[in-house]
Amino acid sequence: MIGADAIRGHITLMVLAILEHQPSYAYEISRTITEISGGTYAMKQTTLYTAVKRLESLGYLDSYDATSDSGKSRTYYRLTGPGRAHLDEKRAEWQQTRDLVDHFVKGDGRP
Amino acid sequence: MNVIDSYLDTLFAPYPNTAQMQRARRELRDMMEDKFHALVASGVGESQAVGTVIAEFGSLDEIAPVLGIDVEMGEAAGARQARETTAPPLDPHRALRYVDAVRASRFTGGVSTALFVLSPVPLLLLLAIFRDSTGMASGITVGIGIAGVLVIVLLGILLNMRRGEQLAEFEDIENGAFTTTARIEEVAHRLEAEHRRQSSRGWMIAISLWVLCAVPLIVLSLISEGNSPLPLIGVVLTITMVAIGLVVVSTTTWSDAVVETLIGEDPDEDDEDAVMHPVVRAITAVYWPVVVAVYLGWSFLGSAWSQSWLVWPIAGVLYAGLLALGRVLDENRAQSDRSASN
Repeated sequence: MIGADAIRGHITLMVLAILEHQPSYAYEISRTITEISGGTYAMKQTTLYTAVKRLESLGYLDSYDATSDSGKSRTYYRLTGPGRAHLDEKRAEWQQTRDLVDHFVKGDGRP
Repeated sequence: MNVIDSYLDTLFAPYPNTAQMQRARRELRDMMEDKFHALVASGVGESQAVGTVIAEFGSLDEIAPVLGIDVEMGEAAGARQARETTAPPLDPHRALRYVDAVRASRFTGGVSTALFVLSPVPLLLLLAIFRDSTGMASGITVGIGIAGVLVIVLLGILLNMRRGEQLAEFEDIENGAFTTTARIEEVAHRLEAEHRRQSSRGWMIAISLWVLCAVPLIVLSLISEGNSPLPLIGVVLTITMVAIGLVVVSTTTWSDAVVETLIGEDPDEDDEDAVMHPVVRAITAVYWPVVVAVYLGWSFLGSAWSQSWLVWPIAGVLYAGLLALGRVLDENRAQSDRSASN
């Protein structure tokens, strides 16, 4: 299982990436993350909602009401221009982070 | 979904009902509903699905800063803190000692109030017994009677002071100078539950006595002839019934007052009942001055002092009826408000 602390800083990247190709609503985003994790990470609903709302307040997402596949009205979120640029930044940052962490994960802790 | 709605109601209850909060609640409920249906569709039982949804909900504290409710939460916490700094929390053991003290002093309080009501009885009895053929009493009789009145009033005052001494150490509690905690609410609710039946029975007996108290006076007046002392005996009986009602109320419903002091709620009244119907309130405001005017007008203009006292018992019974009507009107209004808001 992936701990909440370990993944906290990367939820933004995951949400932006899911919305990169098509708009979605909160539950669908949460379900996508859970499915992709293969059961190794169960995201709390408030954690996802917090991330989505923060991204919306920063102007990276905007929202609109629409009917979902189940026929119910849901609030959809879609990526904005700045959101797309932020996703690129987060991806580059993740590459650097991963390279650094990998360095230690491989047991090569020498300077 | 009722359980989920109740769960959300509880979580959102401490926060102000702003548009922002309503939207957050709606979206979170949508998420929970979708998750619930997905679990049920995958073969999970409904109750287990509700449990899973609630377990995966998280915490509203996490959302607060991005929803802009951090300010409102801060204000709520600030207000709470301000109350706590001005008034210390009440120790539950002390609250229980206060409950015991009020319980112990309930007779003193009830009897002292009853004595004030009963104070005219010696005078009235002496006037009824020692009177000449014209219905007049001697100066000595009146003097002894008034002395009796004063003695009873003095007894009432002394008993009242005694009750004040018994509760002196709890003055801060009686003045509400404390902060109610969950433990105090528990003490109050347990006390209320333990005494609910006793309290409502007490009110029923007392209200019956107060409504019926005019009966002896009216009956004895109707059957009396000439200078018969029966109307005076009727007044004594009426006063006695009122006084017995007061003793019954103070000895059986003391717990209601304690609960109200501890948590600021009267178990017998909700907010809707506390506000009297405006029409009834207007009538009650002018009621007694009008009754006095009728009494004086009838007595002076009709020289009817021997009959005009009948105004009082009739006015008393009508007043009780008016208050009962006010309560019924108010309940109807509260019901129509509720159905209008649904």
